[in-house]
Amino acid sequence: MAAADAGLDSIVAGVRCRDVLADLSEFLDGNLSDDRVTTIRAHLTDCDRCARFGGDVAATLASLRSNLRVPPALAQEQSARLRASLRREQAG
Amino acid sequence: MPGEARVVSDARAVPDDDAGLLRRSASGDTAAFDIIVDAHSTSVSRFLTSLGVNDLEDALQETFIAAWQSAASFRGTGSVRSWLLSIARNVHRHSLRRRVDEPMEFVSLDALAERAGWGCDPAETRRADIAIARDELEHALAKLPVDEREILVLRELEELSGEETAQLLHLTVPAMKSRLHRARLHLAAVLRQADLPHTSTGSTHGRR
Repeated sequence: MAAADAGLDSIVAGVRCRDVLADLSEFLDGNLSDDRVTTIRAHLTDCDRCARFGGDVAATLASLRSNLRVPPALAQEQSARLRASLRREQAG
Repeated sequence: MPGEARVVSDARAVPDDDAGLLRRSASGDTAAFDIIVDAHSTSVSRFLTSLGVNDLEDALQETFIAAWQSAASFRGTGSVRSWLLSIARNVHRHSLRRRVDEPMEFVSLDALAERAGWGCDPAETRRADIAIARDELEHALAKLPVDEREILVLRELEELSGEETAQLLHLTVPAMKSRLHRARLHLAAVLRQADLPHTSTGSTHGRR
């Protein structure tokens, strides 16, 4: 567990929380080198705050993707007007 | 099985990829362009919505008319969808430049992380095991600055690659990543702030 009063400057498993935070997106996207992943995993194992936060951000993104990935359909009239405006353009 | 894909002879059903359809559109093939419109109008509409356009229908029509007019200029360096989204973005930027340029409050990444719950009491941490409702996410997205909203739509929802997104937004890949990271933290922060009145006021009433 990181020292509570050092906040984001806490160093756990040799890495500052702020640096883990900076790499969080790249970590979640799987874009980091194997070495960096190992280092961050070691930090997350011992740092509750970063581990919990990383889990929360990952869960938020998963919710975003699963709820909103499929775009809402256009209303039929909206589609028809889009098509009509294109037809006018294409005819001209 | 060979030939199976060509059983249907209707022009609308001939197998073709987007780039091929766009090439046909550039030669005046309106049926090919209709397929493009059908396939991508919902994505373009959502993207325009995320940018905060005033008149969605007008912007949608303008985007597809511009795409029809400039079909021959498609170079095939990215997907047709990202090309369409790029046109939509230009349409929006022309009509809403004042709004895009309006100053936003700058919040440091540290502050965003703390607002999003880093280091907070676990009892006040957002329920990671409970899915966030669709309307809650939509409201949170709507509260983000437009540049953060658009990058979340492009990367998380449209699933454009990092390179395509960077190209569309006229950013370097590292700058795109940096904006995406900020946008993700900001989204988490807005969601948590929306949740806080319930968690803090209800902390003594059964919140575990």
